[in-house]
Amino acid sequence: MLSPTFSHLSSWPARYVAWSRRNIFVTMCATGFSLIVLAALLAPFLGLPDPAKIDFSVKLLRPSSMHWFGTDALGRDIFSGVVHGARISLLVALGVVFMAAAIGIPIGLISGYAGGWIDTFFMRISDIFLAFPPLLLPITLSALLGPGLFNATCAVAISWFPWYARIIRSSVLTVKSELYVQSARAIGTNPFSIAMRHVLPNSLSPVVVQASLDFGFAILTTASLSFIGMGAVPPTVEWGLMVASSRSVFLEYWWTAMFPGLAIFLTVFFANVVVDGVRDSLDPKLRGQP
Amino acid sequence: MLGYLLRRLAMMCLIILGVATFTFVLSRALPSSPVEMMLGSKPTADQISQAREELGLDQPVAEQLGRYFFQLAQGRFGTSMRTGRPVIEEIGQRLSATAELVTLSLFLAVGLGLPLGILSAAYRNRWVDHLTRMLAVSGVAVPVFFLGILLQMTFYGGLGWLPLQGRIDSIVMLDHPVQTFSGFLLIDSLLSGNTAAFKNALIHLTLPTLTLMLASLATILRSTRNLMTDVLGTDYIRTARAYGATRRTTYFVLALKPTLVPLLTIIGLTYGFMLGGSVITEVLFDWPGIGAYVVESVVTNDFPAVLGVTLVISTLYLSINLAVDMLYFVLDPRISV
Amino acid sequence: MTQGLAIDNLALEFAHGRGRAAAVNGCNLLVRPREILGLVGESGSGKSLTALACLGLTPSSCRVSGSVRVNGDEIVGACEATLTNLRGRRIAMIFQNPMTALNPYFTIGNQMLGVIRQHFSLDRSQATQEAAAALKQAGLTETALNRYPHQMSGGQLQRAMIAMAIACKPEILIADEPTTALDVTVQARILGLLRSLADQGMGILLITHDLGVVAQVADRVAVMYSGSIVESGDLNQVFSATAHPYSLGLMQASPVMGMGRRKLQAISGVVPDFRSRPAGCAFRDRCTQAQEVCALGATPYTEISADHQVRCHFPIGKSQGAELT
Repeated sequence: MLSPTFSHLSSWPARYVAWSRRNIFVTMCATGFSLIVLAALLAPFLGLPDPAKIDFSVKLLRPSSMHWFGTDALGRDIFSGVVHGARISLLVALGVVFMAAAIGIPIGLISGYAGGWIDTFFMRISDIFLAFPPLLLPITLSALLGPGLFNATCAVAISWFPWYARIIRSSVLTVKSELYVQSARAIGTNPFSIAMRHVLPNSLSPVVVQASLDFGFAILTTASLSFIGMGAVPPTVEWGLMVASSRSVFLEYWWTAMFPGLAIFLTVFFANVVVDGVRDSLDPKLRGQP
Repeated sequence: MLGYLLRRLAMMCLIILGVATFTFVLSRALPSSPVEMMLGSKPTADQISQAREELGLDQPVAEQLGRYFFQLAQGRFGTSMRTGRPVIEEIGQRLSATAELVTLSLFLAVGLGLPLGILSAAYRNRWVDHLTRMLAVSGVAVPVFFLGILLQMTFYGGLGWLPLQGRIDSIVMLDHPVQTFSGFLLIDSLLSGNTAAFKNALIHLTLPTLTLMLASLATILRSTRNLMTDVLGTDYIRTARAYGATRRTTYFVLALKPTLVPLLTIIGLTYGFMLGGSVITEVLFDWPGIGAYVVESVVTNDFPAVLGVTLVISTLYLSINLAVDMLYFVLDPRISV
Repeated sequence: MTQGLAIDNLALEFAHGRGRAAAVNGCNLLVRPREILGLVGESGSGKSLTALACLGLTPSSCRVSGSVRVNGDEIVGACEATLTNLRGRRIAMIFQNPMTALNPYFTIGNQMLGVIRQHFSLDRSQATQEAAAALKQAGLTETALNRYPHQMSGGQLQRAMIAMAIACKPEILIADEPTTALDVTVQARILGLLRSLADQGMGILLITHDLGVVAQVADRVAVMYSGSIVESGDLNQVFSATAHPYSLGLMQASPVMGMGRRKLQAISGVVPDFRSRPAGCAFRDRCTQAQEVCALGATPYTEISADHQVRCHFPIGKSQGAELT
């Protein structure tokens, strides 16, 4: 997997360390991302104040030792909000990606395998989905499903599943024409087991690539939906929503918008860098290059 | 090529029909009935059923769909339930506001992104390249609304140089009204020598344009760099250098054309993305564009407006994609006309 | 000032995990005007890298030492301005795969004009005339000027490239496997073209792995193995009195027409990767007559005759040479 220049090192932990040294930036971002994940996992156990608790007596306080990131217009602790928000955002992003894949993979499988008018039908449906520029469909679907983060997640997942369906479908088409699949069919192996044993393993890789790229976008999209009021609703604590609720005060009280916004940015940034870094190191064309 | 174009156009019409159907069915499933909204608070049951009959909402869905297509074919997009004005009129107005914003953003994104991307590919792994790659990754990771807020904080809140929201100050519009030629305030005010309006429109355009531009800039930077790097590694560029081509000629002539052909596709697609992506920017800056219109219509369940605007945006988006694909025929000599 | 292409002690080093290694190690070649020097070797011997070094086009990760002089002008270490002046004008190169070697987005004429006007200050019509003349010399008509590469066959493209190479009338031409990607019939014609160019005064370095090609057109030959020249000299002498075990192995492994049926003998083993080359003579692991001294230090050059050198401790005697057809 790793560049041949490391082949002289014995074990894979040693190789990983050597790779990390060469790719310091990616490693730093991976560390950053891990911290965010850690925060998300440990949020309820850190003894933080309730992020949704409204208390007007402490509203709009500057960042201090009492409130590391200050408080917002309703007196909610922003640091706690950011940490709990990590939990929400990461879960939501995972949810979006998994759902989109879960819907798209079976459809792609059926479409590619069955061929004929079923395939054409699904392809035209996906064309319709792809005729919408990025945010338009999630907004419309979100309005249809109603407010709430779960509905927003579904809305985005439904908007994105055609990508996954297409990826799987093209893998199916490639594998279908492979000789070993034809011989399997010739001896009467049922299509389901062919799908499971031959098609899925081959097509999983591009799906994983797409999913990892989509992860960051999922965070951005759901936060954007929350920002315009179509995603998370109070008392849910979500980064986009936090920025939205700061809109009336952010000019004088910068911390109300800065910290949740930065949180989104850093999370997506780290995630993208890590994904790119892993992809580059697995790319045989780039091996041995600085 | 003509055959290909015709086939694609036919396909596009089919897809648009599909979009219309899809959106229509969706809109009928919207939770709160638009009728109640239209009639105001606490309508009686009689009033509701009468209104439904008037709007044709009591008919089977298929029939409603048919009627809608019939109206569409006549160019009637219906009346907005929220404002009472013809949807098509509202869309027209809003569209030019968005178009001005998006076009300017794209100009900037390409004007900055293309040269930087070329430099980045030419001087790989030097500081220019690292800066560019950092910009590219950041640009895609920054949430649009956060960037907008940061810019507002800095240039309005902190420095006071630029306005917070809106397309033009109403005072300026009243004192120096702008004649409509193109719908673009910048062009229209220039054409009639209206410098006050021009300056005012320009300062209002600045922040939203910068906000919208960043993500596209990042994409163009990255794509240019990757495409140019690939081209610079080809045999034919090696041949050119072997015959004494200077660095400048190589980067800006010989390698540029092969890069531009796929790059123009990406730029076209970016333009399409921006049409939809302007939603957030328009909401944040109170920009009277089509993105904000979508949100307003969807939130108030104004389904003629939702239908109309979805159709228009999708058609535009598909047309841009088609136009960009057809560009290949013109630009790539290997594809025969 | 030595006329022609003079390569002295050229070494091309690359860094790798464990240090540096020389892909080309101490190469010495001389290509005189009016003659064709055939540089023979397998893939991985370093021939193409040597060719690139003659134009200053080695990758940036490659460290170049030694000297390459084109009619006295030094290439190694020269600045970019000098190099762009020399490339195409005094020394030109044609490449192995003509289908990918020309820019698909510009016409042949456009590319040729670019080269001509880079080196001479001519206006468009004058440059076009020069281009047309070069095309004619290469066996193509003027219509090629308006064609795109994808509209031409492999043989035509190779001629177009030769036309581009000779358009500025360089003194030295390097031909890197010019016929490998082409049919045999086309091959013969291209080689004939190269021969006529040499007869008109050009010095040509013809790089190939095919001994038959060398036998057809070359005046002198050099055999390269794993980064250094192991045998070189006049064609007849090298072919009739082959002195290096590797060269002999090559001859015996090549099918040559008219020699009747004989079993082709492959040389056992593989060419070593330059990063893990054994010390001493690089060929010793595959050599049937290697002795202990072959592993010690750099192998010296021996002069077999006036124009025939070999790099071997134990050069083969005359009686074992392959016959030239």
